[in-house]
Amino acid sequence: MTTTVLDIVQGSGTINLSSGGAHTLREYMPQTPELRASQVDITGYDGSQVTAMSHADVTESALVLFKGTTVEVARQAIRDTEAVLQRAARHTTHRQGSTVYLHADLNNSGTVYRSELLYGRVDVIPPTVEPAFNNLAIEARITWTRKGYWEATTEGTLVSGGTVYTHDDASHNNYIDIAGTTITGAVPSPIKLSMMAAGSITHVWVAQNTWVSPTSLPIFVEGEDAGTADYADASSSGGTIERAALTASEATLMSWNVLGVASYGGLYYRMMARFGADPPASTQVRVRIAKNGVTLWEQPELITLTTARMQEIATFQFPPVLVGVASVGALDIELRGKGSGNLDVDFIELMPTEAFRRLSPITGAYTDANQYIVDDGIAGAVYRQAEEFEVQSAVPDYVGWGVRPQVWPGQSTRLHFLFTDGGTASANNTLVVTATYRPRRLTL
Amino acid sequence: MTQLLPSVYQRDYSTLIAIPNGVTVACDSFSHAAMGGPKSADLTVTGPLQSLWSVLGWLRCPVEVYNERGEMLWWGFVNSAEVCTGGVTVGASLDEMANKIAVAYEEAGLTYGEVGIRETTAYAIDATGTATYGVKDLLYSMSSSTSALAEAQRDRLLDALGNPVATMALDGGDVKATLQCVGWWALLGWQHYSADIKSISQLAWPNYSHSIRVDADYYRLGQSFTVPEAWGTVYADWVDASLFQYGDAGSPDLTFRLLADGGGGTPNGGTLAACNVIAGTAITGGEQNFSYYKTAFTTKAAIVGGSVYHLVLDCDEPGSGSGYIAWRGMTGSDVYTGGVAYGLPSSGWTLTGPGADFAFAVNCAVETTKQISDIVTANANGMLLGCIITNASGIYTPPYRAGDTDGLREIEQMLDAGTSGGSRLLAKVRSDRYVEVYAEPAASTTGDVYVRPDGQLVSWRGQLLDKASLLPGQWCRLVLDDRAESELGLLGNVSPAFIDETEYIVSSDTIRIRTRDKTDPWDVGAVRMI
Repeated sequence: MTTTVLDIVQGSGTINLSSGGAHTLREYMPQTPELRASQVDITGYDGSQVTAMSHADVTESALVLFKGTTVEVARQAIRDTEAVLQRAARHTTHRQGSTVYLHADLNNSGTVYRSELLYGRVDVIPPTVEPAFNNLAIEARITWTRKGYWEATTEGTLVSGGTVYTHDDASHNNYIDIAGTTITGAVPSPIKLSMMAAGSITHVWVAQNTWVSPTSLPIFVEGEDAGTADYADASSSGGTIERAALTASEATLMSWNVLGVASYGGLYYRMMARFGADPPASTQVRVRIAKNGVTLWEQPELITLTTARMQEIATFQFPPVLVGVASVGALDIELRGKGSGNLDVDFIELMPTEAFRRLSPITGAYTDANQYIVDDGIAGAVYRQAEEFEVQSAVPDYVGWGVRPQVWPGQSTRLHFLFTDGGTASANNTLVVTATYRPRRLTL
Repeated sequence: MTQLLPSVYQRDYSTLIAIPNGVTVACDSFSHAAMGGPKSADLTVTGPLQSLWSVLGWLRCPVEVYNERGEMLWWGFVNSAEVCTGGVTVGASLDEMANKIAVAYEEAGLTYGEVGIRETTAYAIDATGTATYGVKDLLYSMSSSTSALAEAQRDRLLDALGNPVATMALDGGDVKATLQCVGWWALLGWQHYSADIKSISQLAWPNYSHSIRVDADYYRLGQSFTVPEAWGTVYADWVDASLFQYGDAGSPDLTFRLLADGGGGTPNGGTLAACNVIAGTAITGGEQNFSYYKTAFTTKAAIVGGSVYHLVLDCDEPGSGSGYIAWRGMTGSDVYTGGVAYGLPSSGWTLTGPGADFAFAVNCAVETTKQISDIVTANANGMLLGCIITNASGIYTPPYRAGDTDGLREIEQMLDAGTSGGSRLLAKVRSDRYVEVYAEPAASTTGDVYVRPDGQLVSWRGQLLDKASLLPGQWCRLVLDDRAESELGLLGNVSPAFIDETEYIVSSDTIRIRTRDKTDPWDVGAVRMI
């Protein structure tokens, strides 16, 4: 038999507000968070330009009857509640102590959700003297401010032990798919990614695609598809790299003709490249999108490559300008540059920027074989871990940049991965990825 | 508007600084300038107070501001930081810091000859400060002083300014920290810049008895020389030579010519450049005249480091025993090891001569854009990776710098001079931390940014542009109707306008622009916002 649940929980300590024993819940209706929108109104033009939206924290209250064998016991119960609310405030302002949560199941569903309590107070409702002595109970209103969402009290598994490579072909994937049917909740939920390196790993890039044909959008392009000059390289994708000779003046080094351009949706992509050899010193490159030699978009300035095998090159809208147009002809993605020596390109990948994230070790750190890099979007932490789920072995020697991926209820999502090993960033390196989440909702 | 994501790095750019859980770094605004690139950025850091104090240790840490698409919108470093506790604001800044100090003063010595002479103490260095933040020097000036007093002043200043100066104010406010960041361009002003004269010479006291006269035997005189390899390519600017006239040589015209080396120590015959004529009548005083005569090359010929060249003197009236022009030489030994003096017949390149050296100097000029590149290299402080000259200036000047001016002012002075073709020169620090020097682009309907009446920015191809991504150093055009264009045509050119500076305000997703040669909108209170 399920019962109504409304608890204040900190660590192993629980204040049960609905037990019917020390506490009787008289009244509680969880509030829905307000939606905040940043918008710009332009005189003379209809509507507003909305630039950002978010949910506000929720302030609400519950009416509780505190009872005891004596009045003092009832008063102590109130003080205990006040104390945990003070600890919540301390955690909010100083990040000290454990997080305080409100746990709730108000409709006897059998599933408890939690929301982080930020701060609160207790207001004792008069009269409290004679009725209190007679009934040994004190009525009080507990007012708190909490996060605007509820989340599951346990983590659900989205993907367990998925293997990703540093390249994508018929028999190797550099992505994991999360089926929409496995994603519950009502609002987007952040993901906790636990990535185990089969070999040594340094940098990891993660990109999310939910809205643009995630399971079929071709974002991985082999260098040799440029059709200029192919050379064999066992550590490269497809065993081949594309080579271009650099000249003192800027010129097109290689060009890839991309079909089905409309399927890219006019969204922004972060183009990354893996090089079959360290780029020569002082090599400068930029990206251009063209059609029949006519430039449609060009990266504003040349960038100087480092000697790393995997590098971020440019961000561009693809196709440029024509968002929502169904039939767009094939376009050329050109890599232009100058320098001296040869530039060997293994592949380029158009990483979706719906959520684009980079994880990098601090100086001297690296992930050894069979260790884990954890990007915990739920707790908001990044760390390295010797054993999976062994939190006590976590070392905070990794930092993360960028927007964390999150899953949308009912929407299939693909997470793309690229990673380096501090050396050649071989296309044959692997990561084993586990993704978990706590489904979120706004109402109970 | 996309979300902005500031990143703060370790000072050596090795990796990101890990931001503690619960701490948020947000960008409030940033600006760019056509001259220099990223100019300033304001960041706010919020979170638990005990976590905020760490920002005081972020001075000179690199900062990059990205949008969520991974595009870098601003780059530079933390110049100052403040922490507000609610009732007190504690701050630290690099503005006043100087960890390498010298004092220039007028000598007030005891002897008559020592009074009034400009002296400079040696530089004193705070090793910890320079190792931590990079070198930021100060050349302090005193009037009349002794060396002991100047050194004491230097040491006192170093003690006070060798590390960032902390401040405290009883200012209340929200508990937060603020960071004021500046672009890497400012780093070029951290050090004074000095450069030697690029002069290939042998100017030790010339000897009368080793001069060679221009006569029938030595119809032409020559001195070979070698350009120091480290100089790279320089340009022969003018010549110094010790000449004298014995008796009455008539009225010959003297011309110095620069020739390439033909191998075997002889010139190859082709004149690279010639100097202005020295009239023989200007050479006076007889063999006891030890004057140097200066003449400039009429065109700037490039000479390359490591290569041998020849300076040949032509005299259109060779003299005789009773009257001649002579080029004074050195002592009998070959004191200048980069070349040798010789005589030449009236035609051909058969060398004769003493095997010694003339008293000469070939003074070289360096293209101003190359000088800018040299200053960037000297003042990079380990953070700027190099200089790329997209458009050379075509203007050549002597590279000598006394070291009394900082590198940034030296650079801006040369940029201000523009190119030999009259174009304005601009420079910016790119996102890859290379300084690029380039000529101001011309306005073009197929290259400019267009501003629509609703304030939206579009490329000339019609692509909607993110306001946060708008950079100066390009032209913008207003999209107007015919009536507006006719009215504006009476008032002068408002479109196209060259964007000199931009400032992006994050909270309102607005961008301010300042166009070239227009009144600064922030100075007069009128803000041009789009």
